[in-house]
Amino acid sequence: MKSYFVVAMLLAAPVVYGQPLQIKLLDELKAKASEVVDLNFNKDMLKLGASFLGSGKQDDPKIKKLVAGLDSFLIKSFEFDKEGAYSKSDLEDLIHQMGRPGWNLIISTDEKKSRETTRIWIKASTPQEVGGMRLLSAEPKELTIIESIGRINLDDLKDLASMGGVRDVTIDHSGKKEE
Amino acid sequence: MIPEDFDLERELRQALRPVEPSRDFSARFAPRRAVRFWRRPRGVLAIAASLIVALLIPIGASRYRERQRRGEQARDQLLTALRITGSKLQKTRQQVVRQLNRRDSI
Repeated sequence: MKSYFVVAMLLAAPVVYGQPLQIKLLDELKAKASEVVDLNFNKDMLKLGASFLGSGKQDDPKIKKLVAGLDSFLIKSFEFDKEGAYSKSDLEDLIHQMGRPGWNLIISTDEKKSRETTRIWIKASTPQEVGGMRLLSAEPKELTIIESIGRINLDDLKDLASMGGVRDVTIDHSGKKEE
Repeated sequence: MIPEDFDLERELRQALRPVEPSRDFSARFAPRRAVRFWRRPRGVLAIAASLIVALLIPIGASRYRERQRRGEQARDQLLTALRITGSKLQKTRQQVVRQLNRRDSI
């Protein structure tokens, strides 16, 4: 009986290990949010989007380089009209699910004054590259989850942080105001 | 009036004898046949080709416009996603720096 269990665990391990982020709680929070950004790119969509970037803009070559190594990119960012849309246990559950085996927590900050919680996990690949990144940023009236799968160069990540203001674009999806 | 020496059989033989065609016989007929054979189908083919082109051009243009629209939408969404990611990473960096400064001051 034990051996069956071990075999089942071994068979399930790769599935669980490489499982994309699917958290039911996020769908519930999305319904409560006043502003939603919910974007999910597969490799084809990333390629298509990158191919429409011009070469004239300063950051475009950097973005193209960054995107070239990615296999998928997911972002869910919700803004709420009032505090309390998610509880402390919801947040703990999210942190637990995002830090599943295979993902190493590299940054953990909790700001008591502003009640901001941030976690960043990476999937190790090579010393210079990571195989993926997960980010959770929680504020009293905002929650953002990001998952990128694929090769990311650490220098490109630094570039991305300094690009905090990549060109502003406003998109309207499903009738909700988005940024 | 039929001549007295009229021989029907001989006249028939004479009229129906095999005769070699003149040398330019095929030259006179062959090109005409070719022109007649192709003239109409060519016209029909040209009209058909024009119709196909007239149908294909809007389909192609519509597909191009659709791809262009999808591409621009994907680009805008990608830039939005990266802008949010960039701002969150920047914010995290500032938080880490603040925490490190606090530790140093202690």
